Amino acid sequence: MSTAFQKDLLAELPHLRRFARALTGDSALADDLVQDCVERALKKQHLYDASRPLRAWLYAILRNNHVSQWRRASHFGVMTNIDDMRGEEPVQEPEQEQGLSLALISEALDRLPLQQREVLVMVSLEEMSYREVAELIGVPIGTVMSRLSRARSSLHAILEERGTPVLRVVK
Amino acid sequence: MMFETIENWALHAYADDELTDAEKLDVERILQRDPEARQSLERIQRQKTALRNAYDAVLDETPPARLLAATNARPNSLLGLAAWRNVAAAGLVALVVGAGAGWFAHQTGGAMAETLADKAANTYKVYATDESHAVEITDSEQLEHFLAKRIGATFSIPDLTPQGYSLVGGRLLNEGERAAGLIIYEDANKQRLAIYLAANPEENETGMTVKEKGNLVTCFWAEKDLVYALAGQQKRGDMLILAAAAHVGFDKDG
Repeated sequence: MSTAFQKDLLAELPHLRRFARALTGDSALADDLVQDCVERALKKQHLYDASRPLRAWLYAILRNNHVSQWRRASHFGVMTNIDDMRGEEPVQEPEQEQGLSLALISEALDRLPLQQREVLVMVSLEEMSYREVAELIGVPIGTVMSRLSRARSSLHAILEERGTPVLRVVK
Repeated sequence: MMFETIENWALHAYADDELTDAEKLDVERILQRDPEARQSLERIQRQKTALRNAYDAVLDETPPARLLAATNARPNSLLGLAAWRNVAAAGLVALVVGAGAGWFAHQTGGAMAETLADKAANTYKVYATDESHAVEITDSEQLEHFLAKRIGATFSIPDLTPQGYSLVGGRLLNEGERAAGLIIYEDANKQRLAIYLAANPEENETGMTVKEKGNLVTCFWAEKDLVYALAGQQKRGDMLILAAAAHVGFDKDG
């Protein structure tokens, strides 16, 4: 028997997975983060304020765990499997507007500093408001806006450099 | 808000729908006469679309089995059964103290309950106030066995030490021609608590009811094959906590 809380949690899984995938750029790591988030949420459900959106609460759990994992990983140096770096050639689909491949976008996002990447993902992909993002990560709204602006400029420059015409204004 | 020239942040805020209607109009006016601003805005919007197009497929994937299993995990396996018992017991106490008159007034069981309250009050006055001869049996196990046999029902003698009360002992009483029991506890200040219990042959259940008469407070309820009544000179709030603890403690299976 699952509780009403568990049913709500189940409904949030797709969004949690998309959020985690964009944060980490790796599907297995992303699902690890989601699993950890779900387990923590079940243990701490008595702390959940039901008058607030469940998704925002879950995102905060997932994001905070991601930041602490990232800090631990960067302390030891990030390990990248060299096999993962090859074989995923960006696939261009010129007939599809704004149809950049996931691999290409993910690789570009990965080159942004974490502070910029997470703000970009929360606003551009998850459509959170500046205020929600500011509350979640604990910085002023002005900081959210400047990180967002820098993230968008950097991402644009990285994709330009890769010669992806899709982000140019073509009429 | 007026913009002399378009600021970078205003374009982002426009693309992210963060502006008021008036601010949007200002931005749109400037966009009309500033091709560079238009290009910047379009870049932001195209990038947003590209991000969503790249990641939206994840929303349609079926989450892997391990995530579904983690979400459906039984709460018990996470918290442990003992912890849940405590939560349940604490929850019951909170319910009893917090529920107020509504819950207590619910199903008072009429005349039977009135009689029960009086009976508990009387046994308290007669026996519980007697310092040296209040009880016949002091051993908890022996008392449980004896009363259960004479009343004809199974129950546990509640342990009220977490509430600061130790068992003094108990005795056999009569309820008409049937057997009834009295259990007496006292706290560190020798403040006593009497619990009267008797068979409930009709098994008509009632909610918990509180009655105050002078400085004597009684709490009583009927559940399954027994009726229970607590009597003492404690404060009403303390009495409710004791009644809740006793209610849990009497349950043989709890």
